[in-house]
Amino acid sequence: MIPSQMLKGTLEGCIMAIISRQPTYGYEIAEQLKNYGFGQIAEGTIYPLLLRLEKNGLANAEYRASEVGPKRKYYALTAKGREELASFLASYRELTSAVDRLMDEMKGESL
Amino acid sequence: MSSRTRQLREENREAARFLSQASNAALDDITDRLRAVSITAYQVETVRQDVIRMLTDADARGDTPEDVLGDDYDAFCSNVLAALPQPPLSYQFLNTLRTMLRVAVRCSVISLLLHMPENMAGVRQNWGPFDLPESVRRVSEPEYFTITLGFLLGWLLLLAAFFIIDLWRTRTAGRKRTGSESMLSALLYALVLALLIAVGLLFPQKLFRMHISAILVLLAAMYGLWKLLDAKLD
Repeated sequence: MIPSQMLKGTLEGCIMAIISRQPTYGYEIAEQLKNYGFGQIAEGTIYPLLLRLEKNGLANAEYRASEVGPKRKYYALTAKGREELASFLASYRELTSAVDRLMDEMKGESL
Repeated sequence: MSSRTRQLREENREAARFLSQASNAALDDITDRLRAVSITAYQVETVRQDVIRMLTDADARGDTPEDVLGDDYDAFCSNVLAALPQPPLSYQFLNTLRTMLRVAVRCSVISLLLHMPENMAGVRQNWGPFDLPESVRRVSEPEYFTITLGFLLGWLLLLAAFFIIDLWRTRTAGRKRTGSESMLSALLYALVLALLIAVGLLFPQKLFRMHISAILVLLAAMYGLWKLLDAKLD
């Protein structure tokens, strides 16, 4: 299970990546993250992140009618959100590259 | 409250009827926390709508509210509040003004109605140290309302009581009140009324007079401003 502190810096970017493909809603995002190996992430953890994306203009929200209960909120990435996602991916690759180099040097050393 | 907020509140109240007991308890807990902070009523209802949606789906899957929202509702609400756009200072000022006007209009009407009989009975008595000049006293006295110390103190007491009741009602709006809450509310109203009457009797000292038309114009202005703010805010 990925520690929450490690997940903290990347979860928002991963959510942006998921909603960049097609508009989707909180529970569906949680299920997709689980399928990718992120473990069980509660919808209540994802919801505030989606609100923040919306507040910052990185995502748009649209209410769609549901068979049962209130309308469901679907989120999609905006053009500004796509730029932000590209920036996140670039930073993430830089980070993983640096960590991989460090870990390669640590190989063989007793920890 | 604006009509869109009122409509959303009604929709949420209706949707919440179909939630399980545990989900409703979770929703009430979260609603109380949201209403205790200074976000708009519309923001509260949009978050409630989203939470009801999550809990409706959770109930259908057989999940608990904790599975969906986490164990710590405080943390959930803090994260949600941090993610919401904060209302500007102008909204907060106007919202406070709206509450004050709403409470002031109600207090004034109740105080006036309570003191009207006393006022009608007292108009022919001597005025005491705050007597108006003879030229003014010659006008038709029943058209003047006497503001006594008791009236002023009672008005302030009513203002305080209404603020407290208003705060409590704001925090519990959108959910059904329990029988004991309704009874407590009724007792509180009765107590305030009794105190008002007592204060009016204990402090009959006259302070000044106002023409009834001036009072009515002032009340109408306060009421109009309150309704205008109510329609525009949220």
